[in-house]
Amino acid sequence: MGLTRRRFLRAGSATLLCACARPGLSVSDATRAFAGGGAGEPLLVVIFLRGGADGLHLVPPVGERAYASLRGSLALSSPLPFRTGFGLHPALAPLLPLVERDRLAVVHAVGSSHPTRSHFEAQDFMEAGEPGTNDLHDGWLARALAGVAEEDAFASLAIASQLPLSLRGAGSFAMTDVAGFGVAAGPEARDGLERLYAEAADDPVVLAGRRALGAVADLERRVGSRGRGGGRRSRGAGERLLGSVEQLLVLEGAGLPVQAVCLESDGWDTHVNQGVETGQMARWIGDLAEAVARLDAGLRGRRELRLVVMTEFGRTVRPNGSRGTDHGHGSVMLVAGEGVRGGVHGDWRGLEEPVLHEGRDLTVTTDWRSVLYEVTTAHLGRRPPADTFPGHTARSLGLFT
Amino acid sequence: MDQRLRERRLLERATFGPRPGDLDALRDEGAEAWVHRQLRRAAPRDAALAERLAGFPVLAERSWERLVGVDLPSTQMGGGPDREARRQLSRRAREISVEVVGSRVVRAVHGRFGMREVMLDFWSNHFSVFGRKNLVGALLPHYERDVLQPHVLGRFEDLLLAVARSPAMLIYLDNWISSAPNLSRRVRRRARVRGRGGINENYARELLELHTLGVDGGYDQQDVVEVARVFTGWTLESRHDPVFRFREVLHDPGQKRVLGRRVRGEGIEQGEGLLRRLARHPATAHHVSRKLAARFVADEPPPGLVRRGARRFLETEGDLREVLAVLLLSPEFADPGHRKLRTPLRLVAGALRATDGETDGSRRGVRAIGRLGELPYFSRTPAGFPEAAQHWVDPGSLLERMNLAFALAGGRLRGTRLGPVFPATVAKLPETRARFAEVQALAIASPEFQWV
Repeated sequence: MGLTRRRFLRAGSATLLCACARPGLSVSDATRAFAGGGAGEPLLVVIFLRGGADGLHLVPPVGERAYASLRGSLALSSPLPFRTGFGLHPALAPLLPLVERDRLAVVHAVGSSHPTRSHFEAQDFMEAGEPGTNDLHDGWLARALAGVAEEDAFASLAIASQLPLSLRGAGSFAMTDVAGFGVAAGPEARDGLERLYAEAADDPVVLAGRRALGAVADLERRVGSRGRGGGRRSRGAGERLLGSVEQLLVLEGAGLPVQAVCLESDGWDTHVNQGVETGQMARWIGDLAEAVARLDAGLRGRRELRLVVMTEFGRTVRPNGSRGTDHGHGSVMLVAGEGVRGGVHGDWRGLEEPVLHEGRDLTVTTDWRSVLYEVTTAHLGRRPPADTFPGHTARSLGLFT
Repeated sequence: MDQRLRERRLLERATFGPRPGDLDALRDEGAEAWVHRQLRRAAPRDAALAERLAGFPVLAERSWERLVGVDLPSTQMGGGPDREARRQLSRRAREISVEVVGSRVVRAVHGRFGMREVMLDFWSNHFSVFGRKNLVGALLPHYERDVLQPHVLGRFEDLLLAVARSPAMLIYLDNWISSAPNLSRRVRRRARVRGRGGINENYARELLELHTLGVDGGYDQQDVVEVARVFTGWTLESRHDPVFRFREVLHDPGQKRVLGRRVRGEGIEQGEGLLRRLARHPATAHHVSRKLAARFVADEPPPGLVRRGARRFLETEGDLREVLAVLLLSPEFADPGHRKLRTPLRLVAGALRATDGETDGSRRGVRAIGRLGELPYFSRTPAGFPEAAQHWVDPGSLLERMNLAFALAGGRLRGTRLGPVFPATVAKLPETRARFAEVQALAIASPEFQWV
């Protein structure tokens, strides 16, 4: 296990020189860690928009001649100004402070090299970190974080009803709300449980169970004992991104050493009545924007926040017969936070018919793994382990200054 | 070798766990006689189970139209008002899949012939289909009743052929849209093929890698392509009449070579012959023997045992009962070092059986198992759920297991409840003043109970 930035920070300046001499930690890492000072430790937030979010709606290429004609009734008439040729959906207005600070990056025409239009396949490939793979035993983020604060149960977690594949293999938890995280048992039974799992055995079940009980106790100590756990999860949390962000802020505020978080947003599969400036998709976009803005506001000056928004694929350029869009190919990814170079990144080839994928979808010009690789590198202060994205050679996008 | 351990493990692994009295009965009968009785080929009558399964009408429904209950011709591709009918169809597919999974829980908990239920669990994972893809969910009653069940303790070859022709697998692994390339426009129109046609390798690859030879079974990419060509034309009557049909016009008539040998016969015979050949291949014998040994004996099964199972497989032309008898009566089966983690279904079924409890397979219980992540037909990959404990032991899942135990004991899963008996197999419990239900929960949540 390598020396992590977190432990390095705790170790203090006396170890600075010898630590720098170690392989895997450069001088710039060390100075960055110290320069961080009040800005706190890095926090990586990965938001997955499930269902295939329409990138052309989120960041419309209004400068394209074909935009209005191809999008037809779905073309936005009054997008927010962003960069030459590109606007933002009006529901993204809460992100304007980030735009003004030049900390919102858009990677356009991004996606997977795999042609599948199946939600589950496309999501699995992305989360496994390898297009076309059938090996879904662990996720890209779990591998990227290997060796980082593994002893801490809260180092990585998901605010979700199930642990997403991205984090599988990291010993992480999924929780929908802090109050519901725990063991739904009375004090006597709880005590019995703790004794059952207290024995130092080489049984992996005992070790994992003890870690689970330790995490529950730790959370109760910091947030107060409300843990009833089990089937009594509150409904609202996890359904809306903003609710998940509030949960995350509770955990963070309690001083838990969270370093990486997966957040989930469902409902982007807009086959019917997608809406334009307002309507179904605008509501989801608004939730996303408010959640990101809340995170940014809640953590600024406290944590070195980096955030990436991804989705499994984009949607057809043209509307379908039900005022919606069908499964497509390329979409957008958003990157925000510390050190981000704002603007539109990636290779944009336009919307003219011959450059569309199969004549109907945005062609993918940037592999999603290149984006995640760069974000993860910035977060870790070093390159992620080589097996994070098997067989992929990351292309530099210059998303960070 | 520990005879007591063998007896207990036979009930824990070759059934979904002992009910009170089962262990004594097995001892009276003797392990060997018990194994042979469980391995009888013909499905024995289990009237009590049949009565409980009557609560799942989708299991017996043989008419596709009545099963899905929507106006089918309007669900064809093509936009417009059909969209609503298609949504109804996928909603219905989802409901049907939930019922089928619920019935599996009932089978596990209440079936008298546990070996059959355990093997159904094994084969539905080996020949995994995903209940949320396309129409697969609505095809699960057929897949389970007419494709898997008749062969769970039969010959591997018969099972393989039945799966290859099953609409569930044809749709799941996309073979139904695989055709010879460059079809004439007339054929495309007649057969309603979209695009220009062409092979889809999905089924061919998984047939070799997962169903038969195994990933190290000695085939290469060219074999995959050739196998895909062999199975062109293995498709469905139509989208709204999903029954198997071989369509000569979609079949690639050219010569094919698989594993260094020319594929014999014409048309559908080619695929049938190839399946028989694959079913008798030594690599298949090894692959199937290894998977069975990993399920019943140890995550990393001893190579000598795998070889003995494979030899029996080849000697008996893939008679699964013979292979299972070798494994279950082997010295390795009773080796104390070979522990197996309870799967979520095994955890719930084992707890209910050990306490003499019951379930009606309704949603609450199913969802509780689903939270632990190994619901039948919900593996998102064609490989099925991995067998080894390492994939399933992490803090989050342990917390779920603990909460599941307390939800069961606390009567919080409607339709599913523990009985009045204390689980006999749990020895070590700390002294506690907790109530009886909580002590039951502690037993089920204990590290000891997570293993069989």
